[in-house]
Amino acid sequence: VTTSAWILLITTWSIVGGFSVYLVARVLRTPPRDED
Amino acid sequence: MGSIHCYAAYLRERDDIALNATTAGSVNEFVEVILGSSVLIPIATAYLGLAAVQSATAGGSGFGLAFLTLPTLFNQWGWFGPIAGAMWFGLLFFAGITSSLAMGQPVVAFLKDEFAARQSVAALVFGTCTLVLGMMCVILYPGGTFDEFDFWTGTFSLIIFAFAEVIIFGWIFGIERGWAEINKGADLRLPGFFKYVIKYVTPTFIGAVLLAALIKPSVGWGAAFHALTTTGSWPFDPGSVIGKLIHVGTDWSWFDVKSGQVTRIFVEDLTRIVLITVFALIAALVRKAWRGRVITHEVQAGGDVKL
Repeated sequence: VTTSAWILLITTWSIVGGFSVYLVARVLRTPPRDED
Repeated sequence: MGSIHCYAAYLRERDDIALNATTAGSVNEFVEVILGSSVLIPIATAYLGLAAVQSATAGGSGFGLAFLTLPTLFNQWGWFGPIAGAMWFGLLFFAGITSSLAMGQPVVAFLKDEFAARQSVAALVFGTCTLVLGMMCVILYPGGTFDEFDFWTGTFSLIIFAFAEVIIFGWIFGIERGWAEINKGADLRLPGFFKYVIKYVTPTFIGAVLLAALIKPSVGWGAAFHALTTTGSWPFDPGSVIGKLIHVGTDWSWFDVKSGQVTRIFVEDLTRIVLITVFALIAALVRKAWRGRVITHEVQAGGDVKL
């Protein structure tokens, strides 16, 4: 049970966390829009 | 739910929505659900035991965990307890106050834009209304007013408005036009299958949840349909929306026969009347603002254009 719980936890963390970090990186990489 | 429409008005036509909205949603879920539960559930389970945590989180609400479970934990932390408590509730206060300000801005902007109110007057009107309704929750807390506010505005309305929004966006505004708006100036290209998710999957899913919440039976669904076909009556669960409305399982009396005092049912019904009145008042204000707007446009366009 403990091993499968760890696998489940790490998988969830990696997928959701990884996706979040990727999106934040994309937002930060995007240059600001011209105001006009 | 309504705040997002107000904030949308501040966007320029070619501003990005897709990337920012996806990032905000994803990071929020990661921090709130995954990090939050990864930290809180093990701590609470270690101190209180599995059974206590399961009962505290029963029904899917984290309210008990934040306000009841954690203070119990802090009590066992010796000298660090008060500091941890101050830090925890301090953070919770900031989380609450920033959300309140974000939710207040649409109301203040509405009063300023549509009724030419000054910022200070609009803020005072909003603050006073919030204070009065908030005090009602505090004073009538033993009668269940807070729970009523929480259920009808925070749970039931959330599903109703989400359902209305997805229908309006996907079917009335039209998914093709909506998809074009989402992708206009977007920094992230959304996969095309989300079009079908928005048009078919989301309404079906929310609709099913809504229907189930409305008529949730007190027995299993199979047994409930059996009861409907044999006895012709549906066994509503006291927690279902209709069950709550008609106070299933309790005597519907506003006054206690022996003591003559008001009952919890009276307070619950009173709260519902107040909530409906507030909703009706806001709807009337929006209608008044809308009519005023039509007249303004007619005057500007020389009476030719009607909106």
